[in-house]
Amino acid sequence: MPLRILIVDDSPAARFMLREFIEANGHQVVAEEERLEGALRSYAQHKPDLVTLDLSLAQGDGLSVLKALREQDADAKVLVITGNSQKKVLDAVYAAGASGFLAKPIDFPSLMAAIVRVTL
Amino acid sequence: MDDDGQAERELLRLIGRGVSDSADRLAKISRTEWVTQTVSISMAPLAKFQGVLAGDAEEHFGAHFTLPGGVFLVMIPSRSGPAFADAFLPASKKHPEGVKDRERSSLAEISNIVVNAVAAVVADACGMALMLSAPEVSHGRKADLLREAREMVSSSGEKSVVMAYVHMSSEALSSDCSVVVLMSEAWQARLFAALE
Repeated sequence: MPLRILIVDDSPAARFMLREFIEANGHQVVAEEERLEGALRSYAQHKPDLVTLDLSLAQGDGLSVLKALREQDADAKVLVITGNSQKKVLDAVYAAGASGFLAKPIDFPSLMAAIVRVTL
Repeated sequence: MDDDGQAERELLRLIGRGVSDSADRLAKISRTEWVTQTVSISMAPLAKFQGVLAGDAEEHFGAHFTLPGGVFLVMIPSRSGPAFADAFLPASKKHPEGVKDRERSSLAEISNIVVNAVAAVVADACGMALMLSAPEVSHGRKADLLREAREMVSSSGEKSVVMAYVHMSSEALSSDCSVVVLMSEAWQARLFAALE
């Protein structure tokens, strides 16, 4: 069964790369968003199986988006995909309820494994 | 003084390690080897860095990442934009219009990955979290991009900074990538205290 995935990243290049990979593997991208308001709106509208989320957003920050998504839906599955791999940040991300974490640059086998793992 | 000298050497060593991680990430992105040519660190009043990098007249893409008390700057020759975009998004080569601002977006994302490699090594060694802003992108000569970075730091009232400069190159891409880190005295003091 194809997964329905919401991409939250303010980089057009990153969103393109993720979309290409997700669709090539038979899943569906339900929406792409760049900021908090759009992410919450799209989540409520589409109720995706998974959200991929970058921490560094031009408007606001990814950690706030993560917390808001989890507040909106305690069962929300959020895979954080970010260039920021600092230990304290990783701790904060998991404390805020992330289902998984991947460091950029994206290793596509690892991304597939993470998608499978967090949506089981 | 000796303690500061030791902390400075340790910071330089950490930045060097972060740069090595950056080079590995660049290699993964571009599928070519990157060599680190220069890693240097110096502390001086902001104005003293005015003439630095003035000898390089080539147009560069610059991505500035700010945080309280500091700026990270990545500079890549503008002429390398197409090659970087092709390496980063090979699937978009046939239809580049499918990605908004393909070159700029690719360079910004690559810069984000490169600079966070350096930040992570320093942050983890100091037991801190360094939350960098999203990149502010511009074009100009290296000296102009550095001036923008200095202005970002001086706007918060800083008079002296520590400047770390890193230069990496790729023979296969005929390109290079420079990383500058400007740290305020306060931020530097925090790092040095954590490193002692």
